[in-house]
Amino acid sequence: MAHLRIAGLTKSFADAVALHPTDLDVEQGEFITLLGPSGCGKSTFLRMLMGIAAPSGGAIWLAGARIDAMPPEKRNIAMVFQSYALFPHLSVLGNLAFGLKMKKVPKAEQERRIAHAVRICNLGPYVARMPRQLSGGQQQRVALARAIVMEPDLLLFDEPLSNLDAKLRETLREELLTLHRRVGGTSIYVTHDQDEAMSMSDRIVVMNEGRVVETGTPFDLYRAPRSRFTARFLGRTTLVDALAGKGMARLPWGQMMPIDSAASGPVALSIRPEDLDPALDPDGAGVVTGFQFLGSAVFYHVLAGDIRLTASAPAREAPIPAGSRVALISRAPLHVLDDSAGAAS
Amino acid sequence: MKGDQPNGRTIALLLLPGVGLLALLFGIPLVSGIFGSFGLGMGAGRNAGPTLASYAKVFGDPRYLAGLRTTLYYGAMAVLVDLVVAIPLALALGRSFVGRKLFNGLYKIPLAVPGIVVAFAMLTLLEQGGFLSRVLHLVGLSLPRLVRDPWGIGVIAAMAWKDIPFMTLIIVGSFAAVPEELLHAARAFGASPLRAFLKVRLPLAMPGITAAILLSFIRSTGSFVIPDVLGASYPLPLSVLMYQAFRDSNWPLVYAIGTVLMLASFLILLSYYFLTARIVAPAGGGGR
Ligand SMILES: Nc1ncnc2c1ncn2[C@@H]1O[C@H](COP(=O)(O)OP(=O)(O)OP(=O)(O)O)[C@@H](O)[C@H]1O
Ligand SMILES: [Mg+2]
Repeated sequence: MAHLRIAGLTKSFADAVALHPTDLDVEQGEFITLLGPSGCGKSTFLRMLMGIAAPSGGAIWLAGARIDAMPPEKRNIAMVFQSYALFPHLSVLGNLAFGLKMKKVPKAEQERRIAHAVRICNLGPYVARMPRQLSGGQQQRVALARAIVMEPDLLLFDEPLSNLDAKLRETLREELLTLHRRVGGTSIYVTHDQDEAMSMSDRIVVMNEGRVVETGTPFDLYRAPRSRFTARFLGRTTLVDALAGKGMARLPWGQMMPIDSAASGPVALSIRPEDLDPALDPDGAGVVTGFQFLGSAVFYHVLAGDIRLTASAPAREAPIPAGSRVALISRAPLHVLDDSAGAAS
Repeated sequence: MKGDQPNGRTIALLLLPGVGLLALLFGIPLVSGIFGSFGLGMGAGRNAGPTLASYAKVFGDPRYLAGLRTTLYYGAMAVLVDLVVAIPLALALGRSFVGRKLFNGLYKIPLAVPGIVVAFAMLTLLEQGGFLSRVLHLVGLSLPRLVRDPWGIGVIAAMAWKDIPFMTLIIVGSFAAVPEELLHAARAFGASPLRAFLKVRLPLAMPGITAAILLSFIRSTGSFVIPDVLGASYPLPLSVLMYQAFRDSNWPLVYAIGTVLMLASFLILLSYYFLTARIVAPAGGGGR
């Protein structure tokens, strides 16, 4: 049985369903990300795993034991709260030691773990401070360190890096992953930052409106999403309707391009920016309406027929100026979405 | 703001209207009372002149020392009973149960009952041959002495009855000010409900609770009707002794007792500030 097994877990509030029945298996050592827009039930999901919200139904097993009826303090799970939830009457050190004391970890071990967490979260100068004397980002790191020191069977992160600057976020992302690999812990990480989700996760669980939309590796979900929602939520994409047959599809602006499916008839395609290369061509099908220079790549906004799409190119040469006519060259078979019926609105 | 710092005199002048009025309103009666206790001033009556006679009496006559002890004893015991009832009550009110709204209104009723009414109600309830003793008699039990008893049970019961709603009100507020998420965090980090209460909720609610303790203690030291009606005839608390001195028109003694009573309250207030500054502040205060 999986390290963490969730079966039919659901939560309803008086006026709404926050999580529809959900199944999920997580293997020992996996790093799973719950990704979804605000209010889709990510926090609710985590809180039920932690035991601080009572499920309306379903079962949870962790490390072979059924835990859904256990009080939170009996579960070997630690959590980074979205609101940090630092204890305001305890110093940073007191906050870090709280859980270790409660779980009666030997003193020497407590000190070792705290010292380590303080180092990787850069908390050295602040250990004696009270939480209210810290900036939001510093508080977030304390919340992170407080969970890390527990070395639990399951670590839950509720948007732990949302308040940090880009550089610190990057560092802590790396640190979190290193830590995760070394401890061999199992982590569930909530975010609505798709870059974070893609760069950190073994698997991503995409959620929307209280439901799991799709689960898969970052590569699969990015390259071959089944649903429009996933395609749109993970990275940039242009969704277009096309007519398919014999591994090819006729695009709205008349061009034929290879697709990754043998479907025939009307289909919905997800066109990633890197699927198409714009090339200067006075007879091309598209017109560059603008571009974004990102350093490593250039994103071109191209109008082809009445479709606005994004195509990227490496930024080795000067960008193609707006107003230029370009041909769109297919670099990879375009992905056909599962839920193809209906307009790709 | 410009760099000019207003000088000391400007500040004093600016403060004068407000602080001066306060000083007049509160200061004059206090000062005249203290003067009176030395046999000085208008209130001192016939036997004028600077004298320590009244203080000699207060500190020499065992009646008054016992009175001070009794005052402190009644106050401390009443606060203790208040706490024992008010904390669980406050916790219960923080949860939802059937009839909570009604209960929430009912428990505040004693706030609206004047002390003298409480005193006589307790008397009819608790005295020998009173309501409670008759009820107990029906089932073959006899009521121990609860009124004018050596332990002051009747006094303490009445004081507590009057103060519990006040205490509960403040404690409910203090508990409610502790964010639920912190209690969740405590549980998530291995604390049982009891430990989450002791380690997180209670310390964070402490500033409010200590303020409530202080206020109800000081209220009870000034309480006069309840110990007069329900207390034993010896020892009497200072408040009652003060009234007796008034009946004897011994004004310097009235003021001397009053001064001692006030000093005791001030000492308690000071030790409260001292203790909270020492204990609560370094621990975070949580004075949200
Ligand atoms: N106590 C509650 N009572 C009623 N509805 C609630 C309660 N808590 C959450 N909800 C609702 O449940 C839904 C999911 O909330 P949740 O906090 O899990 O969202 P989320 O995915 O974590 O969002 P965010 O990214 O903004 O943190 C929301 O629509 C929210 O309004
Ligand atoms: Mg959330």
